[in-house]
Amino acid sequence: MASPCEILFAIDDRAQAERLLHLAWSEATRIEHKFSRYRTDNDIYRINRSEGNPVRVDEETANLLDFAQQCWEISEGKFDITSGVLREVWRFDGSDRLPSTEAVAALLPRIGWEKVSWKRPLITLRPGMEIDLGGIGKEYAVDRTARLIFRELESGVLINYGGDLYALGPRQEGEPWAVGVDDPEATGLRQIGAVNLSKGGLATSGDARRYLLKDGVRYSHILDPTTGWPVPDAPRAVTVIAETCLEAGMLSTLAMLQGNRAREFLEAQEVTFWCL
Amino acid sequence: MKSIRSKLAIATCTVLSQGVQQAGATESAWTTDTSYLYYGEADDRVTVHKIITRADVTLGDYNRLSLEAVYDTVTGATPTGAVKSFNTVSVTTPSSGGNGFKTASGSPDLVQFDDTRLGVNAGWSHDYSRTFNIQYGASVSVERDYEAYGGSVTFNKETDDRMLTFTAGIAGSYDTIFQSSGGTPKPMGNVEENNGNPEFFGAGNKRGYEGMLGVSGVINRRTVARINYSIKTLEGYLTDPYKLISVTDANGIEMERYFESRPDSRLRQSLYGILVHQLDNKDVIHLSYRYYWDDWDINSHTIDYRHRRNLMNGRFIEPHVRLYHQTAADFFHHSLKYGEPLPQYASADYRLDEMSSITLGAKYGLPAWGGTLRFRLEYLYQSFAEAEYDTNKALIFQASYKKEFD
Repeated sequence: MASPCEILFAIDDRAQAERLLHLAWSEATRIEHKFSRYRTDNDIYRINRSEGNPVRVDEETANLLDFAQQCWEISEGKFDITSGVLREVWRFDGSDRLPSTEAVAALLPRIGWEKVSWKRPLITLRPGMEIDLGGIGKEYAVDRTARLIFRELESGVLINYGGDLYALGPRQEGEPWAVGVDDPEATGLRQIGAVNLSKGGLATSGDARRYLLKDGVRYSHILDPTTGWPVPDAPRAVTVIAETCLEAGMLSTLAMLQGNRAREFLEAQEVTFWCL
Repeated sequence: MKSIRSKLAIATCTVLSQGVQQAGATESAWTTDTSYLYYGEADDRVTVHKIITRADVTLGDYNRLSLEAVYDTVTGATPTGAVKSFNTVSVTTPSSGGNGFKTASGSPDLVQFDDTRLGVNAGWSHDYSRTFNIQYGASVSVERDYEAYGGSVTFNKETDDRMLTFTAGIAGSYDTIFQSSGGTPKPMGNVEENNGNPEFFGAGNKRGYEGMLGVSGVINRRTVARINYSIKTLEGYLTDPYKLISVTDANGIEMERYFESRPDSRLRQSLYGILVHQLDNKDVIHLSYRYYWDDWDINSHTIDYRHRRNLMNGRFIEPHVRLYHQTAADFFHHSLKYGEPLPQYASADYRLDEMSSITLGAKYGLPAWGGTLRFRLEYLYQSFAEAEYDTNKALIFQASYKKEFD
């Protein structure tokens, strides 16, 4: 998952905790192997190297592609799993090295879910296009793991995969989990809020250390797939609490993509959030 | 700005709830569900013991097959429609070896039942695309005095976002009805004619054709609803060969007794709506209403409410209330008046009378031996406006066990 993952158990049975931890580890590993774009032995790799040929995917992948398509529709094209190729020109290293307008424009024909033929279970990408489920994989892993553990334990578990969380019932009877919300400028050092989470998901989007700065303009790493350019005035970080981690993660991502209207967007969703 | 939260919640719910298993596990291919049901009416009337076993198997990504077998035995006594009388009108059955039907000695107003039924239902569901599915069904049911065959095709089309499902179905059935001795009595035939050997015809046939249209949809993150309309036409022998109607004098004393007679067609229609909603405390309620009407002048209202509460460790309890009211068929009579001409159609079958009923009960479920065990206990009270037996009380008990296999 390329980030620290932890599971907190507030239970007495150490053996049970170890067994569930192992179960969670297997599930997280399975999901990472299956959906990572860094591996060469999974469906994502086969799809991204398909050169215009249809690729048949299994049911779980199909479900995630359906979900990605629904998010694309809901966000009116702003959330797009084909936008990863923009990484070829955008490197958010704090420097002032912006790509040229031409370089960005040259990528746009390779971006856009509307160019993808998705007829479950067959997906066909145009040559040069790629998909990346990284934007939902971690949250998906959190929620799936929660569901596996829930078969045995209905409370006393907090899953935290790199800041994407799910609380499976309170820590103890009537005592919620206390979750700190990091200051994006000082991750791990300073907190700007704390939330009591008893049940549900929490996710944060945004990384204040990933940006470009040129002529006094700060370019966030949140890219608009329709233009290929960073979303102007995107918040530095958005944290959302929702029923599931996947939902929280998608709401925070979609909020970032709204730029200066992120707060307005979050208020319309009637969720608990922090927008910085 | 508009809220996208409920759409997102539904999409999330779909992706998380679909058949994904933990590492190393395969999708469970088989589901079996077996149950025993007891239905017992008060006052030694009808008792039913029923065993239902069902298996579902998933074949590949697109096909599901189901097979269900039902075996039941029915014993006891049920009202014939004749008035309770102490005079000497003779016993009513055709005498030839009827094992399934004879009047109780001394009470010709009741008929004794001792019947067994075996039914088999098979289904095949095929996904033609992600959002289009067709279900095919076939059924056979055989008992001593009744055979039924049926087939159905149901089309289900979902919208691309899976928020709505449209359903259309057609079904046909063909039933053969006879007394256990073989034939059917002449409608409005006098039971006593020809020295107690009334005229009998061959077996009766009944054909049914049904059409159904429905739509179900996600209303919000916690609510789904469905509305169905169904129309069914029945043609042929719709009379019950065991039912009788008395002709009485001004004092209600039975003078004559006739076999009942019903029209040879019936057009039945119904509208059904159900709302399933999850409350803030995670309880799930099912509220449904059905309005039914037919061209025999019967119309009915049914309200059904179930409230499921999930308890700790996979257990649940689900109280249930059902209220029902129907009007009487236009040819229903408690009895006919002596001296008046016989009508073409007449029945004293209590099931065609104006009736109100209430069902109260609960279901309890718990995990057991890797599956789910469920118990249901219900009490049924029916009250009839005119029928000779004006109430019916019954106890229903069901125990079921469901298990999934890899």
